[in-house]
Amino acid sequence: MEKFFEKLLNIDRKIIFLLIALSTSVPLFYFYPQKIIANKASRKYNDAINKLEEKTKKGEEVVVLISGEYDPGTVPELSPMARATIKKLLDMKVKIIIMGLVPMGPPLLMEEFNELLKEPKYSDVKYGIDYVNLGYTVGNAVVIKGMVKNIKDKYPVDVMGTDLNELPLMRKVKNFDNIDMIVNFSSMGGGVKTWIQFAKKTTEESMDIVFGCTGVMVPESYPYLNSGQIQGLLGGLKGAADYESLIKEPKNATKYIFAQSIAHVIIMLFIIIGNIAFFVTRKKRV
Amino acid sequence: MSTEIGIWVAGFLTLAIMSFLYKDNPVYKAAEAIFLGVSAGYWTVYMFFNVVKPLLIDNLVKGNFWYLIPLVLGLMMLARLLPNIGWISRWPLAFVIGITAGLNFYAFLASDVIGQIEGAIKPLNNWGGEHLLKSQGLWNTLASIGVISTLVYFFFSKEHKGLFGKTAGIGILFIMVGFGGSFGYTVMARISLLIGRMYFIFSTWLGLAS
Repeated sequence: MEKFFEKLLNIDRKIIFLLIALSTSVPLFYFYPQKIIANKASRKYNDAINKLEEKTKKGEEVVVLISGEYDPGTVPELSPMARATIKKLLDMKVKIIIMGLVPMGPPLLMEEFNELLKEPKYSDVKYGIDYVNLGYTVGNAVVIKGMVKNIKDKYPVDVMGTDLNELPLMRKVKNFDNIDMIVNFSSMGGGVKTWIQFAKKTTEESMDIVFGCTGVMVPESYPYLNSGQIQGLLGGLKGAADYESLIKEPKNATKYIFAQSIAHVIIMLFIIIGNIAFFVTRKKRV
Repeated sequence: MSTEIGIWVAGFLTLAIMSFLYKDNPVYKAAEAIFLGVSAGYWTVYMFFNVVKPLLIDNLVKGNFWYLIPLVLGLMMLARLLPNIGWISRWPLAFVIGITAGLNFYAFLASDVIGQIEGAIKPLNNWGGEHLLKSQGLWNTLASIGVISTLVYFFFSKEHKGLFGKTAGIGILFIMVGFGGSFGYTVMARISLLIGRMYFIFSTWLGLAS
């Protein structure tokens, strides 16, 4: 028995790589509709977005600013949640402003946006009236700080070089007082903290901020949710799958989460077996 | 199967990078060099046309000579490349550090000190509810114990002995749970990215998975 466990402890890591490769690829061929139970952070995110619907139902114009701060390396985690959020906002007839503090953020958000606009039910969504893409500008905190007072200070033109005064939506949106919610998708260091620090007022009537981030960033983001500095949090692929299930729009995250679960089972099995093998063979090593 | 050449290039480069898992090899090294070269070229062009040109050159051309200040500071930063006058780059660096420190000082105090202290003060009553595990009072109490014991652990002016040491020990437990959570989320994140690549290979590139 000891010899068996010793062999396990010295298992070739290529076998582990192979098992992980199989566990992350084979499930992609079989779509298994896994039951997804949304966690509290994701439910809060959903509640915060749904709160906007009360306003739109009253006929009030609601404007949401979506900032993309991620690059192609984290697309599998962040693009599904961005897509689901944009879809929900479009369904609610919310006006959307896209921007980014990272160069690749706005193009990646627009990729999801343009894909959605191909659906016939969004054929009446018009650029400049229902949505605007401001693109990327350099400066991080300085950009946010400037936009709080006057968006045109930091973005005199949109991504195509059109003067913001020529876009009907941007004629109405002067600064952050005219924005109802900020949605931040981030895989970068500062993340939502920069938005909390510079966009949020300390008063109660400040706009809501919700955050979608990579799994790595979730533990450092939870304190801001618990303290009420952000109103919702989607964490990694699980958060994206949660939100897809909450809005009943299963897409890529729901598809990926089955493979994710299988891979987690494999990893857990290795951790358990590795620990058992370690304790069984410990006496011999001592 | 995709008919786009870009997808094929991306597919082969993905496999080239993954080949490192078997062992270091020339194909991996070539893919790594291509990645570095393309990134450097892409960002140089992107930053010039999206930052330097619209924010600096265009403003100077319009006659806004205030922008000479960032231009001079930028040129001073490049002095780093010349060892004899490298010290000049300390001036723009001092400017950047001063601005960043000033901007972040009050903002950090508001978000990470005052905001977090406010968030940590929670009512310890309210033990009602469906069952004990769902009562807010239980979780608020646990969070309070976690905050206090972790702070005690990081208090090094007093030896960790007796009640103080035991409280610090409880703090370690909470810290370990935190590390466990971070590790779990990191594993989840890395696996998600791998799934994304697998989906690209089997669906976008080869068209085998739906």
